[in-house]
Amino acid sequence: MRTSSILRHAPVAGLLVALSVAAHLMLNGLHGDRGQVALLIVVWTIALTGLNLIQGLGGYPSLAHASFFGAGGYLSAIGLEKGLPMAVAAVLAVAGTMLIGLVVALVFSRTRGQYFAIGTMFFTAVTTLVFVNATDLTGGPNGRPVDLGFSLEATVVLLAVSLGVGLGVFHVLSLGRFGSRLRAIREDEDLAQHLGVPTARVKLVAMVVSSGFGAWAGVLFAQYNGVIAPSQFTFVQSFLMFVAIGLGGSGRLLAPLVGSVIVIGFTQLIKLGPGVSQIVLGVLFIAVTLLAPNGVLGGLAAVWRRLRMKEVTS
Amino acid sequence: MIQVLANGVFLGCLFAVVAVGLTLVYGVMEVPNFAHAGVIVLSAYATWSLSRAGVPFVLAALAGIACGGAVSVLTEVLAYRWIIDKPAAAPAVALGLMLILQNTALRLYGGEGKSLDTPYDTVLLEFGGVSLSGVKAALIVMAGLSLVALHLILSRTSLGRAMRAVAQDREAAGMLGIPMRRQYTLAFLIAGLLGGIAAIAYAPTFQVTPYMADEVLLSAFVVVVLGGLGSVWGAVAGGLVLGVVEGLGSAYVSSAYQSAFGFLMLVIILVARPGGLRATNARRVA
Repeated sequence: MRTSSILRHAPVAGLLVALSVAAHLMLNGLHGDRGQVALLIVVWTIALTGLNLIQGLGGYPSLAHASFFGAGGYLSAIGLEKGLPMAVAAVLAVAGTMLIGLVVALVFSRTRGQYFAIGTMFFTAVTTLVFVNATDLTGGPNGRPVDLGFSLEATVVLLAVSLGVGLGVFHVLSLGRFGSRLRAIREDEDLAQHLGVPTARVKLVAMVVSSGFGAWAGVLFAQYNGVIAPSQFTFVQSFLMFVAIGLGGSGRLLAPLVGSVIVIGFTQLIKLGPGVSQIVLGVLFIAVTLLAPNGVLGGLAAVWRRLRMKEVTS
Repeated sequence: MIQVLANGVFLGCLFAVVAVGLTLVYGVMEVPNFAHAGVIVLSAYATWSLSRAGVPFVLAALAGIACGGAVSVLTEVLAYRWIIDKPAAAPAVALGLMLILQNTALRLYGGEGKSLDTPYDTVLLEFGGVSLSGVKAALIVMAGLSLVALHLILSRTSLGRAMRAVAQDREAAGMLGIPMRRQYTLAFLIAGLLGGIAAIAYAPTFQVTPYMADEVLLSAFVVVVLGGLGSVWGAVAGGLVLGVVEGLGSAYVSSAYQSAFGFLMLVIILVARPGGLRATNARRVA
């Protein structure tokens, strides 16, 4: 029994290790603009793995994720400045952000669907206001430098490991009871509650865990980038994160990675002039929503199933 | 104090005009129309570029309002129409449309702010110690007129009756032979026209930029939540309340955090009456 379950998860574990190694190689091998793209893809994948819990599995369109991401970055930078060791600053930043996530969840998990989207979007707008206006802590609209807490090599290793471990945690959670409960909430919340799923608690936990992922990604981003500014954490970024999960395929293990590659690729790599890449992204997103509601991964899986069916029948 | 209230009423009228557009669309089609921000931005830019080209302001403003209506109808025909059966996809499509519209504006006109000049820029009205710039007075007048017109359309004409019927019960309205598609298009047309009015009314006090409507849209969504999604009079009343709250907050606490007071209000409502919101989920218009 034990060995069979290990065997069953071996391919996924192998894949995640391979992804971590690939991320490490890319972060070390690429420089300049491409290095920045690689960094963003890895950081976004870590952050979006959390979003994939609440939005992907739970079906709750959270537009607060960019503010958790930013809160992690800012809190750790402020902690470092006050003279805390980096590890302590990082833990405090993640814990503090999860506390904020808990408050957000307590307020907005009572609401559903579109109200939830509106409320969390507004929350991001308010955190942007704070980032811009609390000048003595955040450096104001132009942002602030971040002291070097981890060495650069350590940051790269942490980024690569977090990518694999984060996806692994998601995989375990999504296969377990927690994942099934979230899926039940996504399909029919009233029915789920009726059948004994503690919907309020499950949503709360999903939101808090998701904010933790976002904060940790923010800590690493701030360390690697060396500077953070409010424009990196606006609600447009929250939209793009939401779009990335939808494009990748809500609730699928690799959706954060695929979504990040598409979104970051379009906004950073392909130089179509200001705005055009986001227009293309918008069109693509609508097209995917209409034609392949399960995202790119879901679409690919459907095509793959159809091909297999043909092979079997012919 | 009265001055602060007057500013609050100005903000409230602005929120109400935008929120009525949102709530009308939601009532008929159940779409949270984030793309409304893009509609407002594009009609502001249309007015700006026409008046720069030498067209008299009134004509440019009318063209801008018409442009708002046209863009809004386009979003319905090209995107929203295809997700009527899939309400879960609505927020996604709305966000996609918002990305498209705002970045179209960014592409066409660039990111830096443009100032829109009006013939009533320099007018300053004063009564009883309260001064109100011509731009703000014009907005209050335009908002009042357009909302009264909307009320008359909804309550007195057969078109309005049909729209209210669709908002109450889509299937029954369809069975009674009401042309549904025309109602959807009409709701978006009215919303777009109202968005255009909002745009030319408040663009002169701020600047015309691709992101000028973001904060207004957020506040308008709070208004919609205050008044209940789908309720026009709720949106008007909620708009005025929120405008006064934000006006008071920015005058007496901190002007940098103006829209945070709206958020605070939203949180208080959601904490106090989460069930009250669900009760207003019964769709209605007017």
